[in-house]
Amino acid sequence: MSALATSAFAFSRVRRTLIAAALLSLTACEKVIDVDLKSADPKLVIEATLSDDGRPATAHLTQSVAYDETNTFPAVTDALVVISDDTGALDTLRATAVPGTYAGRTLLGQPGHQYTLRVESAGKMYLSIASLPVPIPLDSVRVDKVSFGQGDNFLLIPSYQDPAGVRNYYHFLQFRNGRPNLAILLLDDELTDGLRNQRRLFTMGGDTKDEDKLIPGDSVRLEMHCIDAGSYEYLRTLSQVLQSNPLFSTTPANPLTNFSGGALGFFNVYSRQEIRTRVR
Amino acid sequence: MPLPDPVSFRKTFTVPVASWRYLLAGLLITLLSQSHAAIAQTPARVTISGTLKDARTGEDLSGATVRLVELPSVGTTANAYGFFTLTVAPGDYTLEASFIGYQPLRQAVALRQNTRLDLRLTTGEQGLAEVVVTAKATDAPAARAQLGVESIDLKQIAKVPVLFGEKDVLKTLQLLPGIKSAGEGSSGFSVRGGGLDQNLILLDEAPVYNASHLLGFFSTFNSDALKDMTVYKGGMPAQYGGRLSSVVDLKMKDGNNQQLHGSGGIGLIASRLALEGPLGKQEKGSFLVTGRRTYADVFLAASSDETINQSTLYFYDLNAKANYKLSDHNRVYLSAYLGRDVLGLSESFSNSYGNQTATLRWNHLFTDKLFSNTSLIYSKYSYQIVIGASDDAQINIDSKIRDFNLKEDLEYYPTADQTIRFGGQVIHHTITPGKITSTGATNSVVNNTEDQTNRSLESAAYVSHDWQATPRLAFTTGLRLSAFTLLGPNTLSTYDADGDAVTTTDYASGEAINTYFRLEPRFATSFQLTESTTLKAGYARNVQNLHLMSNTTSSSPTDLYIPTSLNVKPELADQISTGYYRTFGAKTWAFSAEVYYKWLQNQIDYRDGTELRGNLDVESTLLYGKGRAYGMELLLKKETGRLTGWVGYTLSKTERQFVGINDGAWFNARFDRPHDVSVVAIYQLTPKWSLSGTWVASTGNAVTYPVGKYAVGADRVVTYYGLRNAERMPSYQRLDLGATFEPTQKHRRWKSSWSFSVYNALARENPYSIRFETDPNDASRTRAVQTSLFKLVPSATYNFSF
Repeated sequence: MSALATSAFAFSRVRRTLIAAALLSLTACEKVIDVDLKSADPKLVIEATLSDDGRPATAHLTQSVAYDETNTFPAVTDALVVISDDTGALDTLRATAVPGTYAGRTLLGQPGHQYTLRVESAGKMYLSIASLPVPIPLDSVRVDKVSFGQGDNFLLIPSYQDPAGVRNYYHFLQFRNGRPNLAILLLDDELTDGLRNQRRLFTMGGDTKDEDKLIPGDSVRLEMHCIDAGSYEYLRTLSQVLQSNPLFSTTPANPLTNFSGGALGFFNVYSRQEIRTRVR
Repeated sequence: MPLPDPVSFRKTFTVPVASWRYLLAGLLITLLSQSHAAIAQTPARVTISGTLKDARTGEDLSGATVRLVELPSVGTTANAYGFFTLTVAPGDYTLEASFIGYQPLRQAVALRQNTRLDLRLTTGEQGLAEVVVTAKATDAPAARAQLGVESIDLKQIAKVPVLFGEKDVLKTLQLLPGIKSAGEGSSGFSVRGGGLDQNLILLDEAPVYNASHLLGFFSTFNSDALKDMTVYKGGMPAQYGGRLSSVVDLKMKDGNNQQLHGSGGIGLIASRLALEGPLGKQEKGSFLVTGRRTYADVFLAASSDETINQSTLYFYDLNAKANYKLSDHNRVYLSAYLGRDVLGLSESFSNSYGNQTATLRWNHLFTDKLFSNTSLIYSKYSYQIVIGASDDAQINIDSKIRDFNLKEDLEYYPTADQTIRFGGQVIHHTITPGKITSTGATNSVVNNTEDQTNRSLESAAYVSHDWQATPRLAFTTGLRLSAFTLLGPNTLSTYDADGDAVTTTDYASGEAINTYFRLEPRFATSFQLTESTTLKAGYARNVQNLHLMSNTTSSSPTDLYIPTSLNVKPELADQISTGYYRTFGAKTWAFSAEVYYKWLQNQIDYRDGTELRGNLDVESTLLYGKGRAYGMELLLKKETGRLTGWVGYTLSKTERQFVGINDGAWFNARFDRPHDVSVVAIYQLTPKWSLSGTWVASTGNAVTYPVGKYAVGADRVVTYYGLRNAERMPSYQRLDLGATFEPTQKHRRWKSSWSFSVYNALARENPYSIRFETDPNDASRTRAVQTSLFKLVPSATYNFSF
């Protein structure tokens, strides 16, 4: 969901703010409960990345665990991971010293090309096809002061000219004094095709932590990733799962991966740009 | 799918309508001439007709029973406008009129010729000692076959304790078996396993599209303005159509035609005021105006949080009604409703939404056996969202559904044991899904979206026959023909199984794009085994052509209706039901048991991950499937005496099946709660004090739970969810208590009373939702956190009348 959508349509979240205010202050309460959960067979989780930054592809393979176990996710070390492009080039990703991590050597990401990642593990094959979009120039970034909630909030407005007539998808990573903000910041052009962006980057979900909040004096680095529709859908639906809302819950669903074969995770292919600024 | 030629569609559409018109005209002529002939000759049968009214207020007593003591099998009920008619052989009779809460009236009538008789019943409210035990007289024979129907006595439920002390008919409704709440404190409900949008909620015949306020916690119906409520859970009569699960028929009060009166109340979160009185002289007419406004924002202002204390959060309702008797044969009614919610979040966001309805009705008596009502109905639901996008720019989102509706209903009473109802309606729908415009900025923040307004015609013709075949055996047989026509101008796409557009076609203005005809047979029969025992059985098919797109558990102001289209087929429900009914203890207790099975076709759900927005190409995200629901409902009711109330129990199951969900296996619908118990008790302790209590308990909602977790990025843990709705929330239980104090003030004009209530008096932490998250105290673990909404919510309301 784009930031516009976040501000314009994610009404449920605004609603949550309001209703939480009205109701929580009266009587609502929370408590930790014991829930007897069933457990599915372990699933393969693939997080693979390729960008145009001159580095070869990497993949990190782990397995899911039962919900009541500790957060230790077994690495998958014996998989075959192969990347290929639409010109016929092929590169096998080799296991690195970090268990579960694989890295390519020869094939590099080029804007305008399509890449296929094949993973074989425990007798099953998983396939993902993704495009590396041509970068849309990130011209500048502006810091916008918004009064919302308690005190001032400083939000970034990336400035770029969206090309008209084609669908474009943008994923942003925001670093405050070098520390990454884990919030999933997305924009798309469903309602802004051909316009210069004026929308702020923010999520209204609870996943922006206090230590990620910008204050005057901070140095900020913003990475802009141009991604394809498949990656965007994954990130959008992942963000839905992460921001699940206790008062107005929708039926939860797993993120829409761009892998076939039943794997979790996604093949993140993007063109990368970055820009720095200071909050004043 | 190749599209049929629109011209041929228009032909097939107009022909039945035209022939139906001729049929109607022919029928009318026959009916009219018959009765004129009857007057000309010495009557072999005579008709007694008239109206039944409350002696003190002049309100029509619809549903009151009229019978002739000498002919035990002959009787009728007053219709929605208090009109009754009985045709019998000439003779001397004792006419008895009765209605719950009123003293029965007996009057000797010498019937030699057609007679008009207007009757006035007086209430039994002369203090406890004098309360007359008036059992609800046995159902009037003509309506005896109907099953799955509940009438709610609004006077009785006024004492039922409710959240924040706001009397709410839709919440009290949820205490009946077969009707389940959408969630804690919600006015949304599911009937016999249906969806929240499958209930036709009518306020003086006008459909109300979003019957909730304040995010679903209050219904749009101000109890002060209401006269009665009837809910049909299945097998609804043929005059109703358009929704699959139920009809909730609410009627506004007519207003007192004797004297000017006012009433009102001051409550915890809202205040109400009503004014009613006569219009013209000699009981010609009356009017009623009511208003209600909440002041929840007062609480918000007390908050120290700037976001909250600068917020707006309120709603209001205005109801108005007037009626005027032009002659003994003509009466007109005008009723209107306006309600609006306003939510605002400092300057960055505001949202207002609400319903408007208006109904103009004309009652006409063609003969003393043929009653006609013509209604012109307007209904609109709209919302506006304004977002401050940047310093000088705004984004506006506007959405509406608007209806113009012409309806004609005729009731013909050829003999005392038969009623024939027939009529038809045409509704013109205009639906504008969220239209986005950007204003104020030199450079637009967003592009304005194209106008996606769609127009459609929903028409229907019906005939229904109530027949008391023998003193013990009754039938109601009905047939409804419904047609739904999508009108141009519009641009419509068809989609394949993956949701990708296959064809896209432009249609010209006024063009009939597609018409769906559906026949809806309705049948019910009853057999009286003994004086106190009855068996009933019925079958009904219902069709629904407007579908609510909502993926939240609660009703949301941004809920969007979409019409049946090239992709979305009319939803169908077939229901069979049978019941056993028994009264005992001199008719003070009534027991009923009903079982039903319902098949649902062309049900709609979303692909996983769909985010609903007004502008989205919504049909590409839809999945189509089927459903089944079955259950048993037990109800033991006591309507008279010092202790009144009921105990209800429902055992039920409701499931859905979609190709794209849970690998095509049947899964539990969201409101599948197999066990559901409700107890309602009201006890008149002393003449001044009455106590009340409700207790509800049910199985938890069907929910989707994690079956694992996995890591993304360096240190984020993501929940891996299992099959949809395969698990259960913990069970639900709640006790509410109330007390009403009415001081003795017989001879004063100003009367007042106090109502006190405690919602969730046992402070049970009922699960509203459960979320799964990383344990903040131990990052290596995850945990389940349950949110509960209300416990021990006290309220006090001061009510007055003058």
